Amino acid sequence: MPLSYGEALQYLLPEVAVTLGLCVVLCWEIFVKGRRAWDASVLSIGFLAVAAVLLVQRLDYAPATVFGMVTVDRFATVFKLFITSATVIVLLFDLQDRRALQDGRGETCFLLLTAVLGSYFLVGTTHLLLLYLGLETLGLSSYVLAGMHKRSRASAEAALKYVVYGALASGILLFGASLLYGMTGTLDLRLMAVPIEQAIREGRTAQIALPTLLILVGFGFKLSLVPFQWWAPDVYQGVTTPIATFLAVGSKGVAMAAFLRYLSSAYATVLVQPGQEPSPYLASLGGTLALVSAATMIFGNLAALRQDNLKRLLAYSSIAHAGYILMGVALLSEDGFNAATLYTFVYYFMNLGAFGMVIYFANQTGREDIQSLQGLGARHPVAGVSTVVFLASLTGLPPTAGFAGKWLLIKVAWEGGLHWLALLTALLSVVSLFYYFRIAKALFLTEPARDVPPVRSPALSGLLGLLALASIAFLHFDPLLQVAEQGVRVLFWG
Amino acid sequence: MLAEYAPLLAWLVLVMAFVGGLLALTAWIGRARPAPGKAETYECGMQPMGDARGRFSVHYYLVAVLFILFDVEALFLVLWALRARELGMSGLIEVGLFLAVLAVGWLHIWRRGGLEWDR
Repeated sequence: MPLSYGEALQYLLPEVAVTLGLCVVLCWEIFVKGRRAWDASVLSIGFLAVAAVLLVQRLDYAPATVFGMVTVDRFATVFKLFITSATVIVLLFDLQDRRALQDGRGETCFLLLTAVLGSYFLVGTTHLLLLYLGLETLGLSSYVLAGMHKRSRASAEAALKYVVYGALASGILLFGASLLYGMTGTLDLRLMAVPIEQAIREGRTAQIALPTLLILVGFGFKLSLVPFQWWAPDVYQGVTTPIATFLAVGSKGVAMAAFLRYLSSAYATVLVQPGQEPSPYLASLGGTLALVSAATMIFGNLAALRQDNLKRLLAYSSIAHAGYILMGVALLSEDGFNAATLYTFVYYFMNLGAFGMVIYFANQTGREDIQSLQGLGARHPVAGVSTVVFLASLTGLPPTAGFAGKWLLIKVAWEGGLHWLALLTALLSVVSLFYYFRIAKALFLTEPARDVPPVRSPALSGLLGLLALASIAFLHFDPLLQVAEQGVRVLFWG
Repeated sequence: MLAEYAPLLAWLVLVMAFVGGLLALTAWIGRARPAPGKAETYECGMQPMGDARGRFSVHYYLVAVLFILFDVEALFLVLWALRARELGMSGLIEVGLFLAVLAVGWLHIWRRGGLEWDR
C-alpha cells in the first residue's frame, strides 16, 4: 500500500531537520551581526539533537519504502543515530580543540551537516541512484572538509589526495553499478536479487562477479581496505583532528552499513543460511572478501608498528580495524553481519575516544607525536586512564567492549569455517599490543621531559571519561545490543 | 561457463593485433623527415605564443563551478516545467524548496564575495 504524501514525509522528518539545520547555519554565518565563533557549532548540535530525537521515535516504525527510493527501517535508523551522535561528538571536539580554526567554523559545521544528510540517504536506500547520490554528498563534503585549513600545505595535500582517489573510486563504483543495471534491467538492489540468483544458477557468474568487484572498489576506498588504503594516513595526518575523527569514525561506519545493505539486498536470496554450505559463487565472493580482510589487517597492523605521529598511527589502526570488521562480512551470513555491525559500534566508541585523546594532549603540548606524551598521564589522570581504556579496547583486551566485539568476530569466523582468518586476527591483536602500548608507556612509565603547567579542560576530559566508560560497558548493555541485532535481522528478513 | 565470453576475447586480441600491426607497419615502412615546423605546437593555424603551463586566476574555477551549479538548476526547472500541471501544488512546493536551498547557497557566495570578479 503506497503511503500518502504526508505520511511519507513523516518518515523523512530527521532528514528535513538536518536540511533545515544546514540552511540556518549557513544563513547565520552571513546575516547575523555580532555572532560569536562557536554559535554555528551550538546551532548545529541543536539541530542534530532534534534529528536524533526524531530518529529515536522512528526506531519502532515498521520498515517502509518512501517515495520509491528511501528505505526507512531499523537498520537505517540505527546507523543514522550512529552518524548523528558521532557528528555531535566531532563538533564538541572541534569546540574543545585549541588549534581549531576560528575562521570558517560556520562553513565547517555546514559541511558536517551536509555529510550527515548524505549519510542518511546512503544507509537508507537500496536504490543504486540514491546510494550513489548519498555516497557523493558524503564524499564531496569530506573532500572540502579535508581542505578547510587554507593556509596549511598538509591540509591542501590531504584534500587533493583524497579527492583524486575518491573521484577514481567513485567512477569505478559507478561503472559497476551501470553494468549491474544493464544486466538486470533495474536500479533497485532488492529487485536485482532475482536476476542475480538466476544468473548464478545458470552459471553466468562472470556477469555478476565483474560489477560486484567494481562496486567493491568503491566501498573499499571509503572503508580504506587494502589495496585502496593509501590515502588514509596522509589525509588523517593533514586535516584537523576533529575532521580526522569524522572521517575515521562517521564516514567509515556509514560506508560499512551501506556495504552490508548492498550485499544483503543484491544477494538476498542466495546468502548463507545457518547450517548450510555456501554455493560455489558465494564461496568465491566470500573468499575474495576474506583475502582483502586478511591483507588489510596485516598491512594496517604492520605499518602502525613504526609510526611516531599519533594521527598516522590511528590511521593505520583504523585500517586494521576495517580488516577485522570485513572478516564478519566475508562470512556472508546473518551471524557474520551481526558481528560486523556490533564491532562497528564498538569501533565507534573506542576510536572517538582515541582521537579525542589526541586533541586533549595536543592542547597541552601543541604536538601530535608519541614522545610529546612523556609523563603526562600522572598530571592528567582522567584523560590518561581513559586513554589506557581506549588502547586496551583497540587491542582487544578484557574487560573492554573491544575484547567482546573481537571475540564475537573470531567466534563466528571460526564457526563459519574461516579458521585461518580467525587465527590471523588473534595473532595480529598481539602485534597491535606493541604499538598501542607504546602510547600508554609514554604516558605513564616515562619521566616528564619538562614541567609545563597543565591546561585544564574539564569538558573534554569529562567527555573522554564518558567514552571510556562506554568502551567498557557497551557490550554489557543489552538494550543497545538488541537494537543492533534487530537492525541486522531487518536486513535479512525485511 | 566462461566459454561464452570467447568471442569477446577473440575480438580483444583482434583489436590489439590491428592497432599494434598498424603502429609496427608505419614504423617499418614510413619514412621520418623531421623538420622544425613539425615539432611546433599546432593551434588552429595561429602562431603559438606564451607558455602552455601559464598560471591563471583560481577565480576562474569558482566561476566555472558556479556556472555548472546554476546550469543544472535550469535543467531541473525545465524538467519540472514540462510536467508542472500533472505535479500540481506539491510539485510547485517541492520546486520552491529546491530553489530556496539553492538560494541560500547563492546568498552565501554573494556575501562572501564570490561573485566579485576583480577581488
